[in-house]
Amino acid sequence: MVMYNRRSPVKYPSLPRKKEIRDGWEVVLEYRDQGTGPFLIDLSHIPKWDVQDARLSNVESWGELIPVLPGGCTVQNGTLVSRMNPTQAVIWHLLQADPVMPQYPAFTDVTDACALMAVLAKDVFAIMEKVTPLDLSTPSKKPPFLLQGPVLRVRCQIVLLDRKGEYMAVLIACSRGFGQSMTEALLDAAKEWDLRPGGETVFRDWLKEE
Amino acid sequence: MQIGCAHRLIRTYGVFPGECVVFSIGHDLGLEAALDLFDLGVHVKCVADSRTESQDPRLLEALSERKIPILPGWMALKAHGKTLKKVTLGTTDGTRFTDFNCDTLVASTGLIPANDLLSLLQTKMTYRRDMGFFLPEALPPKVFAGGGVLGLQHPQAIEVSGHSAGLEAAAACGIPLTGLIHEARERLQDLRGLPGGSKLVRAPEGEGKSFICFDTDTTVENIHQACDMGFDRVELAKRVTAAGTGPGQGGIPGHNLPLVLSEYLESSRPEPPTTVRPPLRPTLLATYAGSHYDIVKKTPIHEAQEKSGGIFRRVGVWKRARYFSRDFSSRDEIENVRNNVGIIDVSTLGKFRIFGPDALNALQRVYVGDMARIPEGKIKYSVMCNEDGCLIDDGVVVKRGENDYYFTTSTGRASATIEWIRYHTRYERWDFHVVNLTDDFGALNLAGPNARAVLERLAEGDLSQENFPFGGYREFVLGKTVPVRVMRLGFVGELSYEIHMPASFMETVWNLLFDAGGAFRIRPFGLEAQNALRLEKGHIIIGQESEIRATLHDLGLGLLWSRNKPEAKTVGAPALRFTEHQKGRMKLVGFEMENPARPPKDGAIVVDDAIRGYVFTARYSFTLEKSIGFALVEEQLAELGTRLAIFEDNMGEDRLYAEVVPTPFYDPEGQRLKM
Repeated sequence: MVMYNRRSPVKYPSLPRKKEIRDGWEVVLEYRDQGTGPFLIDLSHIPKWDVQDARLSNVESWGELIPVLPGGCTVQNGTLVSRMNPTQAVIWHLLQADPVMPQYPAFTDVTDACALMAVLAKDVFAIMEKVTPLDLSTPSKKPPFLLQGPVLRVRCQIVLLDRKGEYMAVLIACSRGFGQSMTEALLDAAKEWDLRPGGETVFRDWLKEE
Repeated sequence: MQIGCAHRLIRTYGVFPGECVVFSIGHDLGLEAALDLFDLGVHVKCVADSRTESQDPRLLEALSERKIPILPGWMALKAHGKTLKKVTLGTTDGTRFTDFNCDTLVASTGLIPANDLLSLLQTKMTYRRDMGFFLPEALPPKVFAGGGVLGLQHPQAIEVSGHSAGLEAAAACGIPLTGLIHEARERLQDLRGLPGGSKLVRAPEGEGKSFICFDTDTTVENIHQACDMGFDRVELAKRVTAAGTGPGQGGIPGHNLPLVLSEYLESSRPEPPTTVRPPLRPTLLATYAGSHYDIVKKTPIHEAQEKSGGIFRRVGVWKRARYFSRDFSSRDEIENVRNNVGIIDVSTLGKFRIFGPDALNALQRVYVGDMARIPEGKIKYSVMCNEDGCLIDDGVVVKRGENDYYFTTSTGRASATIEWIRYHTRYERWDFHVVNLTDDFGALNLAGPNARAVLERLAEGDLSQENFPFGGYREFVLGKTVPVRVMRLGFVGELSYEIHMPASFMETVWNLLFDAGGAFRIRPFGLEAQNALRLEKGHIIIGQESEIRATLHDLGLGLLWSRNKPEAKTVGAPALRFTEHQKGRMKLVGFEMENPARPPKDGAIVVDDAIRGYVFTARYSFTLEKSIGFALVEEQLAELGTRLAIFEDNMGEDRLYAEVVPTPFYDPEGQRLKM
């Protein structure tokens, strides 16, 4: 009997403590030995849309939420909108499980196109410094913002989210095929900070914090 | 040992460097170290200081208070014993000598200013004879320096100079700080400035060699010889003797070479040191030995293929299953596709959506075919050429809606496709958008005479040849759940379906197909089997049977070029017009070996009295029971029936022989595709 599962590109070595099936995806909510952070959290299952239009600000329903300048991001009700370039933006539904994509040509569902991981840590800059030459702590940008460049030599979209409490989060999106290699390399590179696989709940709870 | 070593032993590890220690130093830090070790209980027998002046008087006084003999203008000349028994000290002019019994010699000739950074900025350096250092004459515009780069060693002087440099940098950015800068400069003047350095650049004349570069074993004598040969400038002497070209990055010879030369040439003004180049600090071996991650791309069914016995090879950035058994001829996999049904992972193909009012214009620009003629429910195979008319990519295009297309590219070109389209439309104000869906979709090729029977078990609707013919395109749902895009293609020369599905569902689809194909004994096949199958069918692989000398016409694919769309300004079209009937071009040919059991190696050369071409790919065909291949040969050898002589490594006078034959080798009528 074949199960109609959807598979994440990322598989962690840890054992799940809690998990749930969501829209075909097996989502790990918590790992047995995930500790208290820093965490590497697989968010590859969250719905992702690509939006392209010559006039992005006019795009049906979403135009107003798209930042004016490339590199800009907005987060509203758990939905992250990042402007990639003058004609392209991406929308990641970090909290909403099954959003309805507008039937407008500008939108393309790219949920499966990339592996999306979050590094949630107190000292997120120190970890990221080891894996990317990009300057996430640049004073010229205020979180949330998007950078596009290499992480472990792989072209990625990197979003730095604002600090909440003691923790900050960086979202790293790379081509899906690189997902497993990137995960293994990230865990190894950040071993000195005891970076461990974390379940989705810890990220959702952090994101919902005021 | 050096002073740092002696310090580390006693301060970090609590170990005395020795019972009775002689110091031979050339800077104030050496004097401080002697005092420190003495205060920690080490017997310091004496301190030889190669300087005759400019010692910190407070340190001299402290040594005197502790009754430690200090010998200005002296240095260690010789260490005696396998384990040290005594050292010979002598004056730097080599006129006086004396021995001291001891079990440890702590030696350090001195420090030079760490001004390599300034040197990198093309700062002009001058030798300060009073100090014994090379120091900047003046700093370049907008450069402000402090601390060790100026040769300062006293902590307070370092701090104040850094503060002053920071203020000056801020002032240069337009912040009014004149008062503060003046104050900081005054404070700096009150502090102890540059310590005098050791002017010793070589040991006194004696029996032993005097080295100027320990990396390359260059001696002072070598420098003198270079001078005598006419290489009497710093840069010349460096190149002749290799002094300073080792891993030490010219640390010691950088400073001493000009001084040795100047002394030998009796010049009063030493030349500046040789050019400094990065890295200023050698890369640590630990850096090279550190983790090097092998970042590869894996397809969504990598694990599932591993479970099925896949043997993987790296292909570009991807890991792909090349074989599914240890029989690397892949005979069973090939025969299973020809006679039954096989399945291969082709997820690495580039996949794109292009949409917008000018999407068709963009496609017309980069594809040689007429993309305005894509019938509904059909695919269009086409190729892209570069500006020289050479084949760079192929794939299929389908029209999914008004101004909305889905197209595939070869694996190797996937990452360059968007840039290629953008580049060749950069002067047009066209409104179109491209989404890279390469990783968004997995793709499987289900191929073989039983392919339809397998797919019918999962798909609703009529998949017959009449309803879904060769060249057709359909979108439907597999197993009532998974949305798929399916193309009737024929790369391996059999009835086949290329199935594209959301990547996250790919493992499910793989399992579904194996479940449905169980009754037919479906099995996976790898890249090697695919290579042999498509070769039999006469299909080329971009990069494997294409190269920079071969245009579309040379490869026999000229029919794909639509010459009736000049308004599209198709990339490569002018070159195709120019070369279409050009004489003397190399041609792609198919060949059969005279000895059917012996294919030549890929890359073997076609020869007569010179090299006339080479073999792209050749394999023994289990289906045809003969060895076949593709070669690129000079035009005069491209005629059907021509006998080709093929040479391989270490063949001597022997040759392999083949005959040029028509292609496809297998199913030339294409009946198998239209089943």
